[in-house]
Amino acid sequence: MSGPRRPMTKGAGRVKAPRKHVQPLDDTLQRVEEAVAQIQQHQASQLSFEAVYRNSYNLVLHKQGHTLYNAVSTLIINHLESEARNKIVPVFPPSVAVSVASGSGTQSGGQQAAASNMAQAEAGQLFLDRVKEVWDDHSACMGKLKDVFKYMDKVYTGSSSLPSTWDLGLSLFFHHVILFSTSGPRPKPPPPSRAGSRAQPPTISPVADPTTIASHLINTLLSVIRIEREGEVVSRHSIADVVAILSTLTDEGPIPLPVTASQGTGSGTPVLGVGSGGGSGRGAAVMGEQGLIGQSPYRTAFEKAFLKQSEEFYQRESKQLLVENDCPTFLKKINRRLEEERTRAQTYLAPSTEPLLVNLLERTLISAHLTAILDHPASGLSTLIQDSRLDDLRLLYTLFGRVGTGHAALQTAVSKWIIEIGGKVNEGLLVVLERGDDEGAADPKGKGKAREDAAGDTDMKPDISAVKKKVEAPGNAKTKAALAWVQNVLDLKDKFDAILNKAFSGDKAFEKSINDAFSVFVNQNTKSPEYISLFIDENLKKGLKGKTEVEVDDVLNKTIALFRFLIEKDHFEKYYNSHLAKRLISSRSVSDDAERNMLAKFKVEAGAAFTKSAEGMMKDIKTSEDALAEYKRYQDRTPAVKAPFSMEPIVCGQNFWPFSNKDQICNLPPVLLDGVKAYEAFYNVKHSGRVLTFRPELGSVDVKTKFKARTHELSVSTHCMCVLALFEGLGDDESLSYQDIASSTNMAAADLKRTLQSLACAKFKVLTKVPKGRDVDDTDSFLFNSAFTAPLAKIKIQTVASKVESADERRETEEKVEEMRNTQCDACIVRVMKDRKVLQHTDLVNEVIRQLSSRFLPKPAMIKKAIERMIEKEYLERDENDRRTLRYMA
Amino acid sequence: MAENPWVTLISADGHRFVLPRAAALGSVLISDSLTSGMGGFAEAQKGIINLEEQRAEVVEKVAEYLMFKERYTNSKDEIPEFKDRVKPEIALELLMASDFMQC
Repeated sequence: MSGPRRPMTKGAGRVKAPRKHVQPLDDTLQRVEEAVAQIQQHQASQLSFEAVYRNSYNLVLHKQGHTLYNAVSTLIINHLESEARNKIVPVFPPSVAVSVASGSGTQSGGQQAAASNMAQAEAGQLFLDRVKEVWDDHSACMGKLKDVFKYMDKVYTGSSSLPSTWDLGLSLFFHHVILFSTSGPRPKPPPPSRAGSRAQPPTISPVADPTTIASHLINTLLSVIRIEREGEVVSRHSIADVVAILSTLTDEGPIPLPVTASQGTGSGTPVLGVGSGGGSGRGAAVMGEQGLIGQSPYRTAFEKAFLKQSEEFYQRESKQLLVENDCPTFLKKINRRLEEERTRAQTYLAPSTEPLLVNLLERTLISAHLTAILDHPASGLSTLIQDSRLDDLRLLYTLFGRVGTGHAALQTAVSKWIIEIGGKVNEGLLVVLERGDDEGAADPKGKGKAREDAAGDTDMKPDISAVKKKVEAPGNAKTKAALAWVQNVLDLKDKFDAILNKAFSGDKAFEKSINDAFSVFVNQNTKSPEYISLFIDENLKKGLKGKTEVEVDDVLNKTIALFRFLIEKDHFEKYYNSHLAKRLISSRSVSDDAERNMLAKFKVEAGAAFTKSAEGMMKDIKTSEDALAEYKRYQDRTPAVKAPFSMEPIVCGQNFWPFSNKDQICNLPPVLLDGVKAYEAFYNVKHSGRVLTFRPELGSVDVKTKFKARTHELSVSTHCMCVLALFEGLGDDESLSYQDIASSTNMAAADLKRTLQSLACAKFKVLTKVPKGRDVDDTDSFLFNSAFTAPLAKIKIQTVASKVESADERRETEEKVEEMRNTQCDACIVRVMKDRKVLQHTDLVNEVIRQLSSRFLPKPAMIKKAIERMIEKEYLERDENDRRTLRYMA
Repeated sequence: MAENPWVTLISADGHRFVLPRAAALGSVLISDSLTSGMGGFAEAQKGIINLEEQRAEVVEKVAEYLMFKERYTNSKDEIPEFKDRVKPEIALELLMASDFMQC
């Protein structure tokens, strides 16, 4: 039939008809029956395959297919039933039914249980192996019959809608072995009259009927698996074999036997009526659940029961584990269970079960305990994060990833933790600040005490030193708090970077939730922009803490990450610019490169507008340096204008530098004024029309001062120098009152007090204040302390200044920021409207918010006000017909 | 146990045809009788198959056809007509035999 074409028999020669079959058919049938019996007795080797084949061939050829089919079926049924009765029933495991009836609830440990488990497992295995043995026997036999009856399958069964020999064997095995009942022939083939009708579902499920092999089989499987779960070693291949058998079979009604004669071989009407086609016509499952059609009994009866048992088992176990173990151990045990079950499913269960089982485990082991795991009191998520237990966290992440809501829950928990700890960091900062404030609060007391001492006792050295320390404390404490805060946040960030990369495998969703959480608490702290700026300031200052450039760079890169969290970036810009200005003016910056580097980073993060001022400042410094060099050459050329001292002015463009205009300009000593004038003259030649305003509060001066012991070079602020200059030429005991100094210098009271404080009350007491004390009062007077000594020739006197803003300064900064925001709002509105011409009010607000959100989060009310302002200024107008529509006025 | 590379077909009238096993397996009947149940039947033991209803003339043609089939299956050569080699007198009988032997 295959290969080269068949010979065609059209030709000139005579065509001989083949010989007729002569053997009587009864005889033939009998021979076949004998042969089948012989095959069942493992005596196939004494049979001629050709003979059996020929006989069945002839039967089919002579339209006796149904007779053959029925005869073979009967033979198989009889054989199987005797096998079941003689081989399988005797090895029914004794106590299986009992143990299962009690819901496999005999789980609790104990020697007795273990021993009975062992016995049960052995009995179970014996039983399973026996079933397998019968099955092997049967399938070997069917394998031969299938070949012998191949012609029948080809010509008769297929066209009569009957199961082929092999399928017949499967069905018969199912009905006469698996469903075999010791109480009688329960699954007897339906009588011929009922042939074709649907199999009546048994009133009681065969699985529940303890007399059936089916119920023993299922229960034995379940109990053996349970025993394995409890830690005993069982024979896995026995289970696998039986599972394979159950999977091969089909759970459906019996083949209606005997089949009736059909019209002719192969082309007759189907034997099965009622329009049934193929095996599926035999109805739904009889062994397991109804409703599943054409499934294996494994699916219909075993799988459900298995899953149910697994669920019960693991519900109980997970509850127990959760009580008995800490979180990581619990996770590890769960993970091991998952692995075990997966191996189990792969080793001896059907492929269809694995996903179901895994799913079930995920549900019972993980989903059900999500919150319990996360909030575990002693060793929940907080502890894991706290201790950075990356391995445990990774396990947590992996396990939670298996269930739908797991990661979401984990993310929420992680965020919650970050915000909580962030809150603590913020609070920690507050604690430090409060301590500073406490000291401040305690200060008046100290001061009072110092005063008392001053009044009563002249020898007060120890007290002074005590006071001195306190003077320094508040400012430093605040800076320290700021640095500590940033450092804490950075440490936290490092920690979470590590967790994210190592435990959460860089999961983007986790990255986002972590970042969001950071953002939340960073922005909860209203001072964070200032703190971050201060931190950068501290690191960009020259020669601090002996950090290498690489280290500093590393720290700053991390700081950029913090910067990203800030919502109010404009606030930060303000602080950063002011810190940068201070660094530049006092030339304390590490290097130009470092600063530019930093700015480049900001530029990448927040755009060119953000760094515009800062870059302007950098440029001014550079220009000033050039101008200075030129000025020096100019002075050399024209000695007439040469100032009596060397001056290094920095010309700062007002629009870039964050200095407020001050009305009160202090009087400079005449010697300085000469220098100022000289430079002004020089500068005006170069750039006519520019007004130079000197800002002595920002400058510094080196002064050579002669004390009794030796001459020191004092590096002081210009303000200090102005004050010191007043003492020039005064005698040792001549004093100047505060009022005198104030009127001579014309300094603002706050500045002057600070200046005097740094000269008279700080580390180096160049002036002596009468009376002594920490604060400067209007009634105090000052003497030049000619007895001053210091180990170094060159002394730097720092102006007392709090680095962290005072409340007033803060308000001022905020006002400035607010003002700037308004301007930006205005500009943005105009930009948008210029582009769109006509826009709805709400659309405009949204667009402006979108555009500005990279710098800060504008409030809608603020934008509304700005729009009003713009309308007032006649940039915009309201549409006359629709008040909500705005129009740009060109 | 080395597999016998030859298979003997015996016709009803006692003629023996020995052909290579590979070619003989082209018939489902022969292949089944040799291999079914892991060589469970008498034929497999001896490598001899009695075809008790086929005359020598027909068996010869079957054997020839099996050789022919083996030669040209999976071959790129042009396949000649086999029908030219069949005598009309045995054509029907050969047809029956081919149905019986499934080849």
